Amino acid sequence: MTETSPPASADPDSEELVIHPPRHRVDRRFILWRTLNTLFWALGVMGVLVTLCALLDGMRTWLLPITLIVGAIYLVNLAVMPTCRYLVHRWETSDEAVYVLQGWLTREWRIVPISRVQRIDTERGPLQQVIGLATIKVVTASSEGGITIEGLDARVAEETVRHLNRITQATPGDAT
Amino acid sequence: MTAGNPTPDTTAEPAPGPESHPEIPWERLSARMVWINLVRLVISVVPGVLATAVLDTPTGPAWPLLVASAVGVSATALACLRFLSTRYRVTGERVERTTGLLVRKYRYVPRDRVRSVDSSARLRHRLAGVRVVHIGSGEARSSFKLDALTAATAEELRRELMPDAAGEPEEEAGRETLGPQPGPHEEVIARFRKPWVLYQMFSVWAVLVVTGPAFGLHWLLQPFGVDLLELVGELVDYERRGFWWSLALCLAVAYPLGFIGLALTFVMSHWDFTLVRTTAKGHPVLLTRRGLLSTRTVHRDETRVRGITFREPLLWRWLGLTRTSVITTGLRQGPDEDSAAGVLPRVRMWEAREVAARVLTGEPSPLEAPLRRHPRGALTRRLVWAACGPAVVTGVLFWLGRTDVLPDRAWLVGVGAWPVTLFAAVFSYLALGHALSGSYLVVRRGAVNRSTVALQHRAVIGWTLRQSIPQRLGRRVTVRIPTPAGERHYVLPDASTRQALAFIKGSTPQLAAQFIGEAESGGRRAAPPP
Repeated sequence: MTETSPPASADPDSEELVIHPPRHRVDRRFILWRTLNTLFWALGVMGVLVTLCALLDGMRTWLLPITLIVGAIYLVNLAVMPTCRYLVHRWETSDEAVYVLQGWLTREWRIVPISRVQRIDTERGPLQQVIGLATIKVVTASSEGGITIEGLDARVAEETVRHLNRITQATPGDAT
Repeated sequence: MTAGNPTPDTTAEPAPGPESHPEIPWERLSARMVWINLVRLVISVVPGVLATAVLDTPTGPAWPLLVASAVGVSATALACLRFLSTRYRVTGERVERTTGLLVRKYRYVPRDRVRSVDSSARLRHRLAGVRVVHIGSGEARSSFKLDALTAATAEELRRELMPDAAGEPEEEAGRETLGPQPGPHEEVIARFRKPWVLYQMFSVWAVLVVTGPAFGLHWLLQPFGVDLLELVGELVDYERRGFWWSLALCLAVAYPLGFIGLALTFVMSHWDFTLVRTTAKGHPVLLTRRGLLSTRTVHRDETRVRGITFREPLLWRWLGLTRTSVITTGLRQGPDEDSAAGVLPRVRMWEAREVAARVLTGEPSPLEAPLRRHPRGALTRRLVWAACGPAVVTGVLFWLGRTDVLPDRAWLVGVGAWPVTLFAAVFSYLALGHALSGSYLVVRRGAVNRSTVALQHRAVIGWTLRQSIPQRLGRRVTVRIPTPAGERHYVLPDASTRQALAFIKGSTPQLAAQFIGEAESGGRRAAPPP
């Protein structure tokens, strides 16, 4: 067995390192898009739960509390989540890497070097099309390593993807 | 670069498809397989016929026999269909296969993408002198097998797709064609040792080795009026001893038998095991040969090896045993030992370390590196979860018990889970560790199934850092390491932020410069005001 060394105090790399946040915010319409999205989901899920509660007497004892809890979660999600996310989400692309920060309760930083990118696309759902937003998808050789940047202005997204595709083609690397 | 799209360098050759290269003929599989399947058919049908027609007194339900016969018939039919419909060929650029009678399916692997050519043989293949050839491309979607080719054809195909640098002697007298091939230069890394048999024997699941076939036999004998369950019941004196003592007695008999069964299986599959480094196609190759009756050879392109994994489930960890597999781009990595990535059976840790050091040459073995422990907060977090999880479960079960959905005592399950989860939390914390060693990064994790991973820095294709609210307060972060090799990603849970950032900076300095900086220089890329 390899013995573990005592915890962090004996750390040789004691220089204090920090993570820089990515440069850009997502578009403001992200809040609207996320709210509508959540609203539709909430209507669907709560509709099913409430119907079940109303129809099935036998299950109500335990279904009712679940419905209430799910309802409360959706309320919080609707009220706070889109804005919180907007305040947190950031993205950045450079000639070397694609880098994003996402999440609201749990934060997540993701970075992929351009030389390992296999494919970059934009994606626009129906709701996004109406609002004029787009999502950038970056695909790598590892399903875990991909990045999606949601809620960009459609023009910005198009431009970024075109730019990134140009760089990926110019960057040597087997993408694996 | 983009998978699936025709890239400029492939325009010179015809696009892949069954119609390309009409001048190269398609080959058939070996017809011997059809004969051996017919024999199998007879063997599978005879008991059913005996029971229903000859004895004519099916006292028990006859359907298990009918099912067995039906399975045998359909397996033979499938084998015949496979023989009729499968064609394969090797062109200048690709290995191709078409299957399917009604819907023709076409698969191909570009020859430069062929990562492994294995051959395996079950007893019936051996009797027929044929081999199943597995052509691995690294992707499950395009890999395929040819079931089956004659031994000579299989060997020819293997040599064509993965030619060894120097010519080999044709065939040693009395030896398997596909078996040992004294290549140009072979460095033996590991060789079968007798104690290994002992290490494979002791498994919690050993009992299944006995009970599985026993139940099969039970179903088989039922139509003949023999009730095996009753017989066993009489043997252990079920009436007198009661359920638990009978069960204990059965287990006491079944486990030793199971251990012996496992030992035999291991000897059959791993006898003469050798792991050697040799050359094929001018590439260094890690080659495994093993098997008593059915020889299996596995070629692994060493240029695609990106690291090594030790896997130690709890019981083995206490016994000091580990399973070793290489992390490669290409080979599918699964927990099962048969997957080509496994380079060693279950052996002692020190042995595995020695082999690992010889597989990953060129620097001090990363798996010897002392691991850094993670901050205490990681332990606290695990203990809190371990305490809260069962508490919540207990509460919910108690409430459900009160509302008559579940039995009243159901909440005891939650209480019983407590010590288990608390121990798991401690084990999980003790398993955590990471290190940087030469051109490798090492991460270790896993409460029950501990795995230690040594991965080359060049196989890291990005980083994902996750930080939940408690982690943010405790200044900890979970790092996920995406990679095209092995399991596609490895996780370093709950390192302190400082450890994690130093880890990232140490393994990919260039990429780290994009998003990690020193605190003093903060604001180098400060975000513009919103």
